[in-house]
Amino acid sequence: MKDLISMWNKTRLIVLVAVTAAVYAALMLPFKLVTIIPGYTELRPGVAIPTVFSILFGPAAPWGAAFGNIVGDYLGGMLGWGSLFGLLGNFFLGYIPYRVAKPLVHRIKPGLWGTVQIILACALASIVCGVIIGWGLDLLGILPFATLGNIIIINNLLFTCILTPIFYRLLVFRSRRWNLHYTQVLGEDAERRSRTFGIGIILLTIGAVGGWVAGNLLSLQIIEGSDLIALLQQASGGGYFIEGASGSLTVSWGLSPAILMIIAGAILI
Amino acid sequence: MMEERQNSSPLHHLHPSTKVLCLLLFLVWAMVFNHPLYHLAITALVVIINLIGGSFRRALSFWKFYLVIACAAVLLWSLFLDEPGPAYNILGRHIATSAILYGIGMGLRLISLILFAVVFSSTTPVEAFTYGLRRLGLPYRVGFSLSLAFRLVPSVYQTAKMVESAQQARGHNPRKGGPLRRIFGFVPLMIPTILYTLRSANNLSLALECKGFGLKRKRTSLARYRIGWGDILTLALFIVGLSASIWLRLKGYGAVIDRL
Repeated sequence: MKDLISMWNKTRLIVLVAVTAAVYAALMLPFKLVTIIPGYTELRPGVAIPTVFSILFGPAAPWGAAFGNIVGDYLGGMLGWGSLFGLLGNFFLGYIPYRVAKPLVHRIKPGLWGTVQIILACALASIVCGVIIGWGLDLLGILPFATLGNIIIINNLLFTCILTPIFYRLLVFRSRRWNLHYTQVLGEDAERRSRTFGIGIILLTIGAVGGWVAGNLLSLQIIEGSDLIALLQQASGGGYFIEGASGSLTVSWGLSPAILMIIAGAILI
Repeated sequence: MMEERQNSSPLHHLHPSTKVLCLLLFLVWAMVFNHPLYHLAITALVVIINLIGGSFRRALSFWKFYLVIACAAVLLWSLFLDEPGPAYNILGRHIATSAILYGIGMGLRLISLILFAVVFSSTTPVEAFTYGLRRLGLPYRVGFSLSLAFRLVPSVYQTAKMVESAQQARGHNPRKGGPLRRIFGFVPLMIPTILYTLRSANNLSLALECKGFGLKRKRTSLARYRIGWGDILTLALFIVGLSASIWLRLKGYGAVIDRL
């Protein structure tokens, strides 16, 4: 995660942050007309930009995706609370792929296993992004998780998983030739996976998939908050750490462990 | 959809940092109540701000959009909130009156947030916005990157238009066919556009380094803004308004349901 800060000392990566944001916002704006939930989400084929730029430009992509969301919302007149959680969700959308698909750094042609890795990394990033935005807006009481969270996840999964491998194949050669690939800017350190990658990826996957499932169950009121408390108490051997949270446990509280797992996993990968 | 209006309303003369702070305060303010009547008052206030800022006509031009937002909010919250108390039975589904009222409140909340975004972006140029953020403590490089992103958006469109014309001359029309075909038809248009933008990024980073971008000395700005009485008064009004609203909510007013 250190490279997210150290990249601000590299002019080339700072420019790539702006390029990622501009291309993402430029692809977002025409589709503002294809609104799914007015004021909050629309059809977004442009979500493939943060994921493919993540694999190519590494730490520039999460900042670029976060800024791109702000620029798109600002120019589209939709700047609001949604933008705050959109910023966070899109940051993860740009962060996860390059951390997960690190072994691809030197490959011009990713091959079958490489393509599978890209698709899995994009799927994970898409779910994390949707869970965070869905959780945030439900927390603020703006839109139910079951509506917004699912729409974002499905939209992201559809476009990132299909378009990212295609875009990667078409862009990787030129970006390396122009010395824009993040490993060419940050050096050898950027190529190494962290020692805690294994634990991180497990936490991230459980947090993302668990959060998606739990968010739907709670939002659609298939399980009640009190059921979840009883379940957690049973699992913890009747521990007292959750006894304070009694009564109607909403999506916001119910998803907090998943969000914490996602953050912890993202730090560890 | 949004663009800065060349106008000289009192809001245009406010310090950019004041406007950014007011935006942040308003984001909190809009979250305090969930009762439709209280939200109606907040929406009325934003309409007045739009009138002062000269952006009311622009804001009004999206009235169909607001109507869709209001209907969607009522529908979604009525379906997803299972609240106790008086309810209607619609198509075998229990729809609580409080959920409908909450939905109306949420619709008005969304409309007021969008109206505020309209007046903010209409009265604040991009340079002023990033200047305001920098004055509030955003690091220079981050502010630079954000303002560069704003500036690059039109050039991305320009490039895309050029590429599209070139491809149309060769017989490829990405605007043909159904919605899904159109989306995937844009792939051959997007790749050259992205590549052009990346090449310019490469040149831009070289130019920036030549001009001493990497230096870590304190920077000066060509644009200078001064904080005046108007800024102090505007901020004071927002702080008082927000504090009063929080006090009212804590006293139990302005809520249909006990949530944000």
